[in-house]
Amino acid sequence: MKSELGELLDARGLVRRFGGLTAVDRVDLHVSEGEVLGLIGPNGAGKTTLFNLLAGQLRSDEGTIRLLERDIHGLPPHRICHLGLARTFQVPRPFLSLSVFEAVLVGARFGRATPSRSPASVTRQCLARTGLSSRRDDPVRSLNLAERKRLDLARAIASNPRVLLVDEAAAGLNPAEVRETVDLLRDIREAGVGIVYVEHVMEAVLDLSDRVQVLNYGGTIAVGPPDEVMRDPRVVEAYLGRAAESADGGGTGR
Amino acid sequence: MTDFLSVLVSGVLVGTVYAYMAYGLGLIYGVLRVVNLAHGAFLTLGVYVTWWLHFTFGIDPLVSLLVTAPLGFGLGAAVERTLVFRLRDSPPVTTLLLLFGVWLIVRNVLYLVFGGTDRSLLTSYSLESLALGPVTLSIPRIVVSAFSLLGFVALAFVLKRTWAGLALRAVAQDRGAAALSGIPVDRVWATAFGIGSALAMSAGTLMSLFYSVTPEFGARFLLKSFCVVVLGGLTNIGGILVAGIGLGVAEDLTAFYIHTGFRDVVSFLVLVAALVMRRVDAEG
Amino acid sequence: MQRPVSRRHLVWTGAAVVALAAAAPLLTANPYAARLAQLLFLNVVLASAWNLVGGFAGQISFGNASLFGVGAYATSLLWLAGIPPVLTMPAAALAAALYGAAWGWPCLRLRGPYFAIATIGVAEATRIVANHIEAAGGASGLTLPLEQDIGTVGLYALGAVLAVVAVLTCDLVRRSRLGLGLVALREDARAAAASGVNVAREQVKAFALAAALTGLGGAYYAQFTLYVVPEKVFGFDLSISLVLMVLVGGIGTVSGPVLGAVIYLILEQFVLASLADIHLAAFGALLIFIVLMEPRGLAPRLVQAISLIRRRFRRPEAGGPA
Repeated sequence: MKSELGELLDARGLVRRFGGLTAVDRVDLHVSEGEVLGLIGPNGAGKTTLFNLLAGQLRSDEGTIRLLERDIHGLPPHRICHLGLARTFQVPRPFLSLSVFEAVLVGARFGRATPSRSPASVTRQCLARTGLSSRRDDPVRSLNLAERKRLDLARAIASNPRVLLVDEAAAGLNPAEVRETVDLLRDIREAGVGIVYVEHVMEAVLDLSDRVQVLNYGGTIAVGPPDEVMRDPRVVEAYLGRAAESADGGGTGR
Repeated sequence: MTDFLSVLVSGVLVGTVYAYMAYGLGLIYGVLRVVNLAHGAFLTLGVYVTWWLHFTFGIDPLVSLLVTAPLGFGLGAAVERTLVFRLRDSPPVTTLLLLFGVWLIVRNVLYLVFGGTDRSLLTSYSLESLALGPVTLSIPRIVVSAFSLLGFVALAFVLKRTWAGLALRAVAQDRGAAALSGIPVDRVWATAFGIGSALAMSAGTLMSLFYSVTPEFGARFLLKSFCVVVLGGLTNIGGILVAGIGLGVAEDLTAFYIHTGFRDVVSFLVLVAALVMRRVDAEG
Repeated sequence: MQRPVSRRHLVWTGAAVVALAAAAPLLTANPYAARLAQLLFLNVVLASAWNLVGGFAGQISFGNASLFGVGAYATSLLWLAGIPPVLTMPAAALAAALYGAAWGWPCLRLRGPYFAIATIGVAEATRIVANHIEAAGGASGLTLPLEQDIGTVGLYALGAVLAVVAVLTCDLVRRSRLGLGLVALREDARAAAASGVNVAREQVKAFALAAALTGLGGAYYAQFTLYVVPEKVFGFDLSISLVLMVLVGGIGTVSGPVLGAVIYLILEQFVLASLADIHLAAFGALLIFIVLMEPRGLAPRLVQAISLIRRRFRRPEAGGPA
């Protein structure tokens, strides 16, 4: 049954256990065309594990994942990428010995093909969108953290995804860089891509998201429009209470 | 049936030596995350030193354990301090190549000192055997097996009950956290490499009781050690003991019922199968 | 990346062919010179093939002798069955590629030291089994007939063609989609998979290609030595020498294996011939030296030196590069 909202990704009842610990506990998640779903929660809430399940890097113990109406549960990561789901990594995992151009070309040549465009032209366009054109011939190892994060995004969008999982694209960046990243994600969303956005930098995720889903101890505790969710007492208690506890750790960026 | 039983028992006896021979490799990997490709060199060296002590001074192989174990510790710690530590943060394959270089050099030295001919030693009890009902057991195998088990018990004691053992296990668990809690990681690494090499050299001593040796001795037993360690689970003492015995039995059965020449094929194929099935490298 | 076969290729290939043809009279003048040339071509083929997987994909194999031996035996057996040896070469390449794919498929799922160890296991098991196949001469091997020998010049030409093909293959792969995937998965297998690279399939493809080239090397070897025996063609020493050549030359580069093959031959023939007693130790020391001091091999140094000389030569007052 096709949803009229143009549902791209629909995961239901996902469970993943590590030994006795349930890292992801009966989580439902869906994202539609041109929608940004913000995924927040304290450290260890299961966000990155959830990403690994969706992208096929880990197999869920229970639950179903459908991408464009197609069951992708148990498929290997490269197949899921070919079907239109791309991801970035919390710690960017760039191909250090390649040039910036080649690193993005990996996504363009091996990912989901962009119709009637050559991989090289897709790569050039992705570099332009992420502001890396001037660095195209530099080795990846010469990039700084902000540039590596943008490179990771460029590599991901070069594989022409319908759904993009973004893992902390703004963490560790200065305010100007955060703004650039938000603009870039907005631009990607305008093209109809559905984005699932994990982020600790609250202003970025609240600014960008159409809906926000809050995880705690592996389970969903709230989901809905950003302002509504942030007023939810359970969220205030679980998320912000927890953040206040570890406030001297910093990094919640306010 | 009697044949089968004899083969089985002899497989078990050899298997305990396999386990003892392999343990050092697993220990070094567990603590340093280094694959000691020079393991075969230490095994071979152990056999030669034992042979030489017996040939020159008539020293009983079991007595020369008192020489080979400390010697192995010293040599191993020296290799770690002079070479391995320089590659501490390099990809693991680099260290593998480095230690392969060490192995080549040791092989060459052995050729220069002892030549390429087969050396074997004969003690008063080498040819003795013991009849237990229908099964006949060779005395050297029983003795060697007993010493291997003894070595295992001693090792388990050191790892579980002493401060040094605790430090080794802590570094194996998490190098960063161990360093933060004040454990001198550098010394622990050298110690682990030393213990691993001491185990290998003393295993060589035990093996001298029923194997002859050439400088090429190490290669076969290096692969068998890998096999045991991968099957048994790297540093899991119990697992390694079971895996060693399993391999010993499988080999002896193959040699007896299929073809003596295929004895080693079994262990090498089991090694590959074990590696592929366990996927030890699975990324976290 | 865009045009795999460029003018640069044609120029270099042309230059190589001309140089090899020009050197032919010298290198076929006497049996010793001819043997040196044959060994050099063989080393270039084998080292380049090893580099396809060892260098680009970063998967160190200590087991390429198993592929070499299959190629050597395929050619020898067909030759003894009456087929002219040169015509047996496609079969040798195919047999080695199939064997490589068969064991590469499970083993290439391992990475780093685990793959390296698995390759030793496979190669040693292959060697032992080969020693027991009586139909293929068992441990005493096969002696090949002289009748259909293609002659010294023929062998020179065949070796030269194989060497050029191997180096060209290396270069084309480096510039192809396959090569991009291999380097990406070497740098980070997870990120490569997430970008759509089928990590298992790309590696097996490269390994089968490397195996085919290695098998051709074996077929060539059989033709110039006229004698194949398991301890030699399936031997561990052969596998090791390939690793050493590529490391010395420069791993993961196209010129590295060629340079390494040359250096290895010089060491083997001229230095170690007089120091036969310590040749293992010398190789061991070389390995340790390279790993500790020059992990990228000598090729980058050479390139550096050449460009330095060039710059001096062109612009004596060279400022800093842009």
